[in-house]
Amino acid sequence: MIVDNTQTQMRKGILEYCILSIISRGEIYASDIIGELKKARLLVVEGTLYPLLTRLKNNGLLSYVWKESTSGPPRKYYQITPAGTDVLNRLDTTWEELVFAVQTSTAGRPQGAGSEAPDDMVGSDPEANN
Amino acid sequence: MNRTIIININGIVFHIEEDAYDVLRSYMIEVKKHFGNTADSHEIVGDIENRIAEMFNDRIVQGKKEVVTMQDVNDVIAQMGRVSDFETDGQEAEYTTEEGYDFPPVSGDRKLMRDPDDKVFGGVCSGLGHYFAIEARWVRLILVLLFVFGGTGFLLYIILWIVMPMARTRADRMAMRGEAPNLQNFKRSFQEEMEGLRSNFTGAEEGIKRGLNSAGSFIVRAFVILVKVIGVLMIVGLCGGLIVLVIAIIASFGFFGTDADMAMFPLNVIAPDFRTPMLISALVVAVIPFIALVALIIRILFNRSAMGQYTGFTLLIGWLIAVGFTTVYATRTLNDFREESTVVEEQPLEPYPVFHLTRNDMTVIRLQRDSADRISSIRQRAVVRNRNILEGQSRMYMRIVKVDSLQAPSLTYEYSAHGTTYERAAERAGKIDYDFQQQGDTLLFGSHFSIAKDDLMRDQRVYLKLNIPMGARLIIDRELQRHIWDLPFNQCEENYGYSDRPNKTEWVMTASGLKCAIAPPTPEETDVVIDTAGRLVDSLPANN
Repeated sequence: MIVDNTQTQMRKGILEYCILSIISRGEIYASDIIGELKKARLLVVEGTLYPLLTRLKNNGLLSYVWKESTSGPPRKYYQITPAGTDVLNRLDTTWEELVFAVQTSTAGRPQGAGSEAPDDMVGSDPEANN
Repeated sequence: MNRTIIININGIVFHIEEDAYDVLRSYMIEVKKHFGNTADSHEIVGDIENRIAEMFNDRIVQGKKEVVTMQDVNDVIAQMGRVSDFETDGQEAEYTTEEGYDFPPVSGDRKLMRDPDDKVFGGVCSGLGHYFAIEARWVRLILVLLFVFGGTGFLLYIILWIVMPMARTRADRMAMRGEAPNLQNFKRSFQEEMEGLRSNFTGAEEGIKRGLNSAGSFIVRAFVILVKVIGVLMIVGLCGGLIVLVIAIIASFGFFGTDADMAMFPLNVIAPDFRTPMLISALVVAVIPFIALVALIIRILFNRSAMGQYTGFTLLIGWLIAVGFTTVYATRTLNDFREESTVVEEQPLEPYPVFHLTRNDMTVIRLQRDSADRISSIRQRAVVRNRNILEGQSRMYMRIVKVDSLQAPSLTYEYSAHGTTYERAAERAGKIDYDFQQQGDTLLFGSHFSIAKDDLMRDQRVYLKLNIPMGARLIIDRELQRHIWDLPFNQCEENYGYSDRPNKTEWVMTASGLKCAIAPPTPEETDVVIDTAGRLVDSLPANN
């Protein structure tokens, strides 16, 4: 139970950071964000994304525009705001600190002592995005 | 074949299968519930709906696949994620909607609804069963018992039928069973249904196969055919009975109908202005159960509903209305029987030592002696007379009562009838027409009384009291015997010692009442007694 909770908390914090990063690359549609996150093996279901996007938007980090779609309803295209870029920069710094903290903390441990899962899931994926 | 529902998601119209719709709807309800306490719920749900619409749109190919199926919905939900997979941000980490996931998934809140999947008439009993978590058969048993003992069960059933809504959608049915309306339960319910369907199919197949393969297949088939033939015969019989019933009622209505002069037995009880409505309602009350019975047999035999639910319901309503009308008219008619009144008249008789009591048969219009020298009466019913009252009802009854030898003989008439009020009853009793004549020493009693042609049958009766002074003799015609109470005619007839029954019996009024004037061993005495009637009274009681 406690492992689950810790994993969830870790991923939750990183998810926002990753989403901001993805959007910062350029205007993007929600389902494309999903695609990117899936590629990063960070998110499995779409339903998780929408509340996050809404929250980020309400905090002024994101904005969106409606664009007509060739098929189906109009789509929301998200883009990052200057405030978002600012936050992202600060998160970059935080992440580097965190990576350092984790690396320092895990450095002295014997390798392959069953600590693969957290390493794999928390450590490697965000690095790929970075 | 599946029913489809048209839905509109963010301005796009989709045709979606009913089952798929149920699942989608419950999913969206869950989603809304999940995000319900966040400030941005509207926007989030809108985004999700929008995305779902887009995914549906991708799956629809015009002209090839135009309907959203269960598969599509499941895929979309899998992609969108269950609510349990949603991880919201920090503030809501403790927000857990899905505590009730463990089995059995019962929310405890049951709704009282009729179950369309398990019903005999309206699904009331199974609905009650779900509500109280009892098997429906026990509820049915209780209701049937209530119906048999006192009939309240029927009324109760009707009321419950009206009050309880039908559980039409899957969500309703789950609410009825007390299952929480979440996605897991929806899926379970759907799967159970599918499995039920499948097992039904396979079960039927197996049954047929077994029936055909086994050695006794011929016997089984013959038995089934026999049962069906009997059923069809029953239907034919019932239909025949129905037609006869309808014709009988309509005929009596058509021929005698509202014409008061000609009203015959059941009709002459009913007031003329009630007759038409009462006949119609009685007709409906009688006919509808026949129809229902035929439909039931058809359903049992051929496993096919002979009438739609609405037809059945309409028939039931119609029947109840007719029962209501019949009851109202019957009550009003019965009301006319509430008070009884008796009118008494006394008529003095000329005193004679011997009275000959004979009967004037009011139901026969002529008596005829035929050529074969045997007395036969051609009993032609007096069609005009006594049409509006039953023969047994209108018969006169009499008692013979002793009075003091110094008093004159007399006849007391007691006319009685019923009516709404005492006065009305008395008036009706006064209208009774009864014919009695004294011709010398012969007392001629009418066998029946009659009532006025336009009068209704209200339990009119005529009792006569023949007051005979002590010592007087009576010679009573055999025909009159059945109008007289409390006289041992058989015993007196035996005293005559004839092989045939005597046409008359002779009686004498003594201090202890009327006695047979004939002593058992000496039949010759008869002539003597008749000749010397009246003067030798003192010696005769000793003989008896």
